[in-house]
Amino acid sequence: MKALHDVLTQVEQFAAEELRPRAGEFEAQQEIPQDVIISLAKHGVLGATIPVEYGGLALDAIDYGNLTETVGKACNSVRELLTVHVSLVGESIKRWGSEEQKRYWLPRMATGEILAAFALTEPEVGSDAKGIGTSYRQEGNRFILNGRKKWISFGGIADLFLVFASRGEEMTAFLVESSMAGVSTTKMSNLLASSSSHLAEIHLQDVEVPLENVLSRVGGGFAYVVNTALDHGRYSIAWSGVAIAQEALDGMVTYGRTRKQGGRVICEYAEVQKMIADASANLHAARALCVAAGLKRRDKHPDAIIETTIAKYFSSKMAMKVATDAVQVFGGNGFSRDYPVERLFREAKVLEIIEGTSQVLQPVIAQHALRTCYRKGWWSEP
Amino acid sequence: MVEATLEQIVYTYIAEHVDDEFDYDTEIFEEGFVNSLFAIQLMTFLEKEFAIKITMDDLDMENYKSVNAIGEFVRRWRERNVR
Repeated sequence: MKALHDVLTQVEQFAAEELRPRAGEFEAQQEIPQDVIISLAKHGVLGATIPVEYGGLALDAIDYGNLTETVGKACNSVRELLTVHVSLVGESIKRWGSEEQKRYWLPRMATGEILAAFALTEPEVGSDAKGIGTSYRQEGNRFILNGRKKWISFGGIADLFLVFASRGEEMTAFLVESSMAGVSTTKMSNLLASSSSHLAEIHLQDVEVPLENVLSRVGGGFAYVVNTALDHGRYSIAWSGVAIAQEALDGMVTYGRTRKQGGRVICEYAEVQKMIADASANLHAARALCVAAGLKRRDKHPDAIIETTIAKYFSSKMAMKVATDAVQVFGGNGFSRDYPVERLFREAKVLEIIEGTSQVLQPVIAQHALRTCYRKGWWSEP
Repeated sequence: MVEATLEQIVYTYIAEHVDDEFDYDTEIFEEGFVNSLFAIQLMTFLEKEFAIKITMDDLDMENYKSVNAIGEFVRRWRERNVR
């Protein structure tokens, strides 16, 4: 195995040379070219947290966070591939898969032979997974799946879908191959952002899935499978916010130091410096939250889940604010696709929506504070 | 000093996250005292506190429904993995 430092350095170089200059082009062409995916696999990115014994890099939470930032800073859509392929599906198989499933799927995912997508969301079901409409019935050792999934990142090119389906009150996770009879996809377009993320609807019509493709148990532990997956997803999104904000701040500063108005570079104006200062301070805070969550995850601390939730909530909102200010600093040019900040602005918005909207996470964080910050007897009521 | 029993340790941890009164047989998920996100938090706690590894075979809500159920599950897991 290559030394970790070498891997991260090479990915950084790859991101700077191959991803950042082409990120706008990917969006315009509405796809991530195959050569990029092959290069990601070659650098080990597609097996980032997969154990070495299954062909991955076995990065810990902190290193994976740094990798996510490096990739996401250069190209948000490629980062999305990491989120679904590594964080949502790879981690789920690693955690809940049988030994046979791990041995079959993980090495293929690490080499990029197979791309994986996470198929939870439906036209009428978002964060409340309990209302899943995609159904299954059992016939001997096979399950027959019917339903429709929507907003599935990389659904258009994935070879493997982690599909969540229900049978009455019971819910189960299935590893569904795109090559199975009855599986079809429809590309989704005209989106605010993520045009190159191959978003698709997945149609499942009488798809026969063998028993060995059930992830975890039939009807058992759905809450554990889906929540651990989303927890990994939120950690990835938290770092994605840091990535977009850092890219936007770099842009803001670089533009501010070169653009002249009224005979001065605009970074000399107090109004611009205020935005740079706010962006810098908030970015530092978000990164600190991500690192704190990462350390707890590395330590397998029970509070890692709430720390991750707080980091995702703060980081996604922070990225939106920093990207908004970056557009403001760029002025009219901030509206132009000749500069990347308009794309960062659009991409930041998505982070406040996916893996639990800010509004879904707020009561979770509030409940945590209501429990942990209550100090009985601090003062008596008048 | 008397060492805390497995059930006492679990009860104390859950009590830190629940405002309502409950006992060792209260079905904490069924009663709505905790949410599904707490389920994985509890799982992480059990793994760390009792040095166990919860796998797909252990994903049965019956194992985690109450303090007593969790205590029995952890003992069963240990017996199974000592052999």
